[in-house]
Amino acid sequence: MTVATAPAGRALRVTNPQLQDLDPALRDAYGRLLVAMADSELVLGHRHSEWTGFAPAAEEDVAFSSIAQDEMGHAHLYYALVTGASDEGAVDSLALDRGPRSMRHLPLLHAPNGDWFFTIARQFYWEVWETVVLDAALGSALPLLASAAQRILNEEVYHEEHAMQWLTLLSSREPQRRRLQAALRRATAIGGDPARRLDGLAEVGAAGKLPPEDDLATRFTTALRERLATGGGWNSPDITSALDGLAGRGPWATPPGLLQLHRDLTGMRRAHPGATW
Amino acid sequence: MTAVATGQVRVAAARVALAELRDPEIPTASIVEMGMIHDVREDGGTMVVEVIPTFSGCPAIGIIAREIEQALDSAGISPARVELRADLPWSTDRISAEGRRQVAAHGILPPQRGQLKAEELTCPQCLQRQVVLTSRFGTTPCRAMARCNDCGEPLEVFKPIGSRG
Repeated sequence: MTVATAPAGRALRVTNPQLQDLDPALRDAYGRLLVAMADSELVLGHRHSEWTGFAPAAEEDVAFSSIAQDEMGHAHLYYALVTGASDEGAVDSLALDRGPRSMRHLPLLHAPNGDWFFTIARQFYWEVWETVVLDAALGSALPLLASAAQRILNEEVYHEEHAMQWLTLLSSREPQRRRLQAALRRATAIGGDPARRLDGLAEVGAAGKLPPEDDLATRFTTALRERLATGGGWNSPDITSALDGLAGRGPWATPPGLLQLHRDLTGMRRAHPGATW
Repeated sequence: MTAVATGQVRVAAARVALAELRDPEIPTASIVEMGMIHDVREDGGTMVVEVIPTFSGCPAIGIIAREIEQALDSAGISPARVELRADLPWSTDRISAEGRRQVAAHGILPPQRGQLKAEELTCPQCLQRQVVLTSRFGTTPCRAMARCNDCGEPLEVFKPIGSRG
């Protein structure tokens, strides 16, 4: 099943006054891309927050709680680019009032945390993708995108360092190294290529407002390979072969876990509609 | 007095009111010295304050926006409106020299220029350069945790972000 083109139920309305001068088709694609990035941050932020109180070290309790807080902040920023910053109610509604099938995130990110190895492998995978796509966005002519990308990149530096530190630690000895390798294989197998899976990206690329999807896909696998080589000494085929699956166009699997996550994520909102605190 | 001059006086009065406000997470630090004020202007009789949030995930931003509106109202400047400019990047390079002293006064090591390098930090307790980073993440999004290996003091460090060195 290919999720990138899954129908989104209600059509997305890009109401930010600052985006109304864009060509309607491009505005729509940009909006879908922003929501795809926002939903990804929201969903991953929620999964990260589930480590609060359960992480293997007190520092990691704090780290994943803090990273989750950052990701929620970034989700808010992306949503607000769609709705306009002054309409806080519209931001909440866009984030939390859609059904689970209208979520546009990378499906890898809603998979249950599983063990620490999968958590780290997934964080590594997403942080590297974010660095690649946001670096590209710094040069985009789309309104508001370059400066927002700069803000997010400034903060994400610490997330990628965190993922790299754990990648290096877990790959330093057996049996952790084998377990991390299996987790990385699983993450790439489920993850597929975000350059091809995230809604709107191909159209924005075709319009010349971001690099073409083929280019982004190449940058992503190159960045993964470079970091695996430096962080884990992983430049041998045993692990990099796991990346081969990224080269195609899917179909990629969609893991279970979305319905439970969506229920948890939106529970407060559904119990107390319109509440603020 | 002309209308333009009156406007300038009102904007100056608004800036005076803003200078009194402190960051709820760092009560010694002024939001002005932290580089959070992007613009203060009048828009058809409404005082508009454009605020750049520091870290995107900081929950204090809502409180700060409310306190700005209250401070302007108390100063007789109304109507007023706060616009959050989360679309603009904030950097620790925006913190003034005075702001850095205010951060230090709360017991947090001020942000370094460029990247976080624990080995170049000086312990404020024993003045030794034996600081090691214990975690990049601390009690708020802007803080990392460190420790002095000489005197054992646990330390909080303001994380540099977007610093050009």
